Amino acid sequence: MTNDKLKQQLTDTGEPLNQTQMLSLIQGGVGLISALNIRLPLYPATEARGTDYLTPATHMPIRYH
Amino acid sequence: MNTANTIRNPGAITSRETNKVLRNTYTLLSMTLMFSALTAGGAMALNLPHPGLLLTLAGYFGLLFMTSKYRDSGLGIAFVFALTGFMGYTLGPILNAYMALTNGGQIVMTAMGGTGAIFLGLSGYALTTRKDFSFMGGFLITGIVVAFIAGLGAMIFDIPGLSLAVSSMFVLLMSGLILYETSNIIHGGETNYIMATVTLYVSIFNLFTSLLHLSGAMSGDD
Repeated sequence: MTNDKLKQQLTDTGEPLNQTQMLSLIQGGVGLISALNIRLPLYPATEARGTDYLTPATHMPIRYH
Repeated sequence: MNTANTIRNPGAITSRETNKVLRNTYTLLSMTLMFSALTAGGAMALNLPHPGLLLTLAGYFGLLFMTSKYRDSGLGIAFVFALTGFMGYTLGPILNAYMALTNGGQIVMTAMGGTGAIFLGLSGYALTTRKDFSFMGGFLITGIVVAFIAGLGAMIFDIPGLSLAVSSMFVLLMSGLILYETSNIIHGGETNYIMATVTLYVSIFNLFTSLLHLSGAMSGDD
């Protein structure tokens, strides 16, 4: 193998991405950012509706006005 | 004697906070959109090349990490601008390629108009109805991961049909994400306006690129 061929093989980074591939890359990358940003509620929402009969401290119903 | 514990309505206390988060989010969102439009315009005017695979991903995730790390400090705002500015720059060469088409201007304006209409419509719907869209979270994460893997396949194996399908998926997923995040802010699930801005910005950004891809393909010149 000549020096030039070896040098070419070592420096070859493959074909550059075309427009559609670049668009897919951007979409995928940005899509992943949005997935990482979604924070799922780990516990069920405790909405203040009606009377809460399960207050651990007092076991007394809480009335919301 | 009334032994029942009474507290004020927590909804009334938090509504002022959520309104503040909402106002700050929309202010920062409009500023970042303008900034990224400037960087995209600069990249177009200077005819800058694509940053390439590694630099694009390193820039996106590195700046997202820094934004997330400094979300509670003033530095977070600087990193939001860095992230959105970089994202605008990556869009510049793509827009240049579309503008080189005979009806390029029309394609870009269609995508821009569609993005604006979808964002305003869905945000308005979530804000006026005040519905809770938190149930969509799991579905959105699953859908985005599937779309990401499909997009990776389309990119590596260069399959334009799959790439178009991924774009259609992203239009639906990002529309859902706009509803989810707006509802999340209203219901107090998101209290950090920097992270809320990033989520809404990436939804708008991906909505725009997906609509650009679809409208370009439908115009017959892609």
